[in-house]
Amino acid sequence: MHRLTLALCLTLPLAAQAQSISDCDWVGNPANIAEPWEVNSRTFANGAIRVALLDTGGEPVCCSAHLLILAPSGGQDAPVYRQCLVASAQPGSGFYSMDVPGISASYDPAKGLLLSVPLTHWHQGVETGAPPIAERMEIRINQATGAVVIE
Amino acid sequence: MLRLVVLCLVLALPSLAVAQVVTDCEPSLAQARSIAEPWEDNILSLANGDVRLAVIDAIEPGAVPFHLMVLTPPYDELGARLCWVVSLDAQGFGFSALTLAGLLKDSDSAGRLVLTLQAARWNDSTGGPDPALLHIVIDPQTGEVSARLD
Repeated sequence: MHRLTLALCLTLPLAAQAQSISDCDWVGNPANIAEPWEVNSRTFANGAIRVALLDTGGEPVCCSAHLLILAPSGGQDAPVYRQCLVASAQPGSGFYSMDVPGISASYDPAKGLLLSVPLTHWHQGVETGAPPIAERMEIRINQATGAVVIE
Repeated sequence: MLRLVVLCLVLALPSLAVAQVVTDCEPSLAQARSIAEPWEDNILSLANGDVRLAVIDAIEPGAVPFHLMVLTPPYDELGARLCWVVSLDAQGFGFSALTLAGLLKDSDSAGRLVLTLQAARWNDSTGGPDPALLHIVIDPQTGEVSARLD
């Protein structure tokens, strides 16, 4: 029983680690959009918002999957442009896998669109056949303000 | 007089069928945000998914914003393909129009993809686009891409 508790404690930091949203850098290069694009990209809000799976060539094995987010910049002071953002486990480091077709969406008029993204985290047990740790990443996208944040 | 007319026509021919510019994907043009929407109409997969085409809408310059991004083998050690951008000229100007609809696809004896796309180039004297055909040859074996507009 104590061993089980210890194992859970060791697992939690991986499962509950913070995620990050950053501007498109080399990870957001269109050459990294995972094929087939027709399956690995989705639109929301009548096409105003697009997301797509980014894969940095399967390397590093632990964390090559990121989410590309294209969304209006919002705001009142400047012409609206299309933001290019990348959601990762942490800047420059992604997830073990991500299921773009499995993304679910809900809408709150006061907050904006909420995307719930199924993903998995790598852990050492994966190397010996254990399943990766499943989690969902919740991303709030507010077209009016341009804010894109992890919830 | 006839000779003069023929000479003028011959001299004019090269300008009607000039080679377009194929450059290594540079960050300013080949951005994910610049892939024209809707993607469903502006992306295309060829050669069993190995080759990917995407129309790029750079928005500016307003009359000539369209380019074609080409991702093609060979793959590098990380599985990434070569990335090219086909533009109108070396100044970075694009086409006035470019569509994947009605694309004609063939292959030559060397296994290269031979594509023809409907495009348009800006005509300064008329202040409007002139319809044109963009011919592209892609060699998935070597990654070489060439383009010609006529």
